[in-house]
Amino acid sequence: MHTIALHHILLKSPLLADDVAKELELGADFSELAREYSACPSSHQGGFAGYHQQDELPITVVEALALADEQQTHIGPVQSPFGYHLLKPIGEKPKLAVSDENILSEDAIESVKDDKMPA
Amino acid sequence: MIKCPLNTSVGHVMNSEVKTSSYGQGEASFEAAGGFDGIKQLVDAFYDAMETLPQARTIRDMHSADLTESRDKLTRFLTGWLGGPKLFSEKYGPIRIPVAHRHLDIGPAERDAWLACMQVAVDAQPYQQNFRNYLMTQLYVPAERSRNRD
Repeated sequence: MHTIALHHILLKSPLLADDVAKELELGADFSELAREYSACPSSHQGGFAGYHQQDELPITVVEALALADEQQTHIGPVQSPFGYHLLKPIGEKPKLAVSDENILSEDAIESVKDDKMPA
Repeated sequence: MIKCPLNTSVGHVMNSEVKTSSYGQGEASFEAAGGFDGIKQLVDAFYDAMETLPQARTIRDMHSADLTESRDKLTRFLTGWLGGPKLFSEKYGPIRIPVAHRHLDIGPAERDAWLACMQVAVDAQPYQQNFRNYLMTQLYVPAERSRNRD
């Protein structure tokens, strides 16, 4: 199971989440916004909420981080039972158990078939 | 390790009209507002309303006599805020709306006066009614976040 770093701003209102996301889009500092608006205690650490096993986190958060583009400075809002997360992808991405990326292509399957079994 | 407040849940019912519309996705809002020219027209109507609405006198007095720069700043800000090019930061640097207004005395009356001017301006634009509603709902948030007293 992967351990991943969680940096987020947790908001309770979708409208506020959208507006804070807009500010991030316009160049605002993630840590500063986390300190000011996040409903998570990690606000005191600029949004850094520590390291988590994947299965400790809401699946929507894990999926959003796993599918994040390398160029994205932030993701979201992503809804979970806790509210609306704005995520800052830092460090290793989660790996989804089943995803399009993990499904072997036909070529890959053929190359596996061609491998000889060990004696 | 810091845990999220797991004992709380979202008690918010999303506005289905807002959340199911495409506004807010990519450049949809920017385009619905008529692009840069449409936003400039909106901003001009906004400041024209500020010059005339009696309830806007207090917020008008918070501005310079010459509104040229205010018009330029708001046009550029809204362009990026609605998903278009980030023209504000290109010219003036990064901005956070609540921080930029901290030096001003903004209570509910000032917030509502600002929104009243914007409502007049939005109503005067050739927008779809659902975009007008969307825009005013969205604009309430930064207006409220700029309030710094009860």
